[in-house]
Amino acid sequence: MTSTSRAAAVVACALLLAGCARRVPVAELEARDASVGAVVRLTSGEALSCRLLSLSTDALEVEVYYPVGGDVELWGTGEDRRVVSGGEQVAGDLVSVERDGVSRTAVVRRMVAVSEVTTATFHRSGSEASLGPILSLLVGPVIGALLALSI
Amino acid sequence: MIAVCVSGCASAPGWRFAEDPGVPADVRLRDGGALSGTLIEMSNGALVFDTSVERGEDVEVIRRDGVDYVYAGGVVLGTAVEIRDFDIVTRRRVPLRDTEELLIKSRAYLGWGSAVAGVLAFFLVQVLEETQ
Repeated sequence: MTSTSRAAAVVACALLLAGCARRVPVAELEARDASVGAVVRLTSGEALSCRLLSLSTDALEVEVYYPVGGDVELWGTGEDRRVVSGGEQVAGDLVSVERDGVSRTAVVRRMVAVSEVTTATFHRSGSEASLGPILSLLVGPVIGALLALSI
Repeated sequence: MIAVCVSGCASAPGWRFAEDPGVPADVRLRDGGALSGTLIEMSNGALVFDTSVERGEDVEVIRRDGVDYVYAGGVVLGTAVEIRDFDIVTRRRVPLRDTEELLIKSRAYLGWGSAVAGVLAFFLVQVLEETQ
């Protein structure tokens, strides 16, 4: 491989990484597969740890995750299946039940009016938060060193 | 290198999120203005951003009732979160009804620091090669 083609390969890798960065309208988070977490506290006192799907001036659409077990149970079957927490059905529509080994998590989709929200904090996904420092520390020097070795 | 590239593109939708709030975001306002910073929260119908305000002659921090307010040209921008050598991290509230579009920055791993480190590594390796 010639030094010029090596340099081109390194630059292409850098562009590939840079191309992964993107700006996503908050109304299209789910459609564009962007992951933003939220902790939403409602005027009713309820607190939701959830994934933000979209945000408008009127409402937030969120996916709330309920680990099944203890107070949280799945009642019914098929399309009538629902999530019950503390004896009361939770608000929203049951989307899926995810399995992680022996544990299960019920995913419930819900619309929350902005007027019902006391506070909502927004959080990066765990993978982005942990990858960010590693990649920003390593990638720049690695690309610089590879370019120097190629030339 | 490929493994780093691929892992850098990966994301894990689901229920695992960072503990501390803050998502890089840009907002366009109905009056034509724009803000870029870190979206912290939404409260009382307003979005709360941490933005960087460059220190300058018309930028000052005034303490009132135990709170540091950041003024630019005599207009209060927000409250000071961190006062640094060249800029002030300012917490600003933007009413939701004043926003035209809110954009979340996703997978933005590389910044100016990476570019500077890359340039330094480039010259360092060149020097090491020449001295061998």
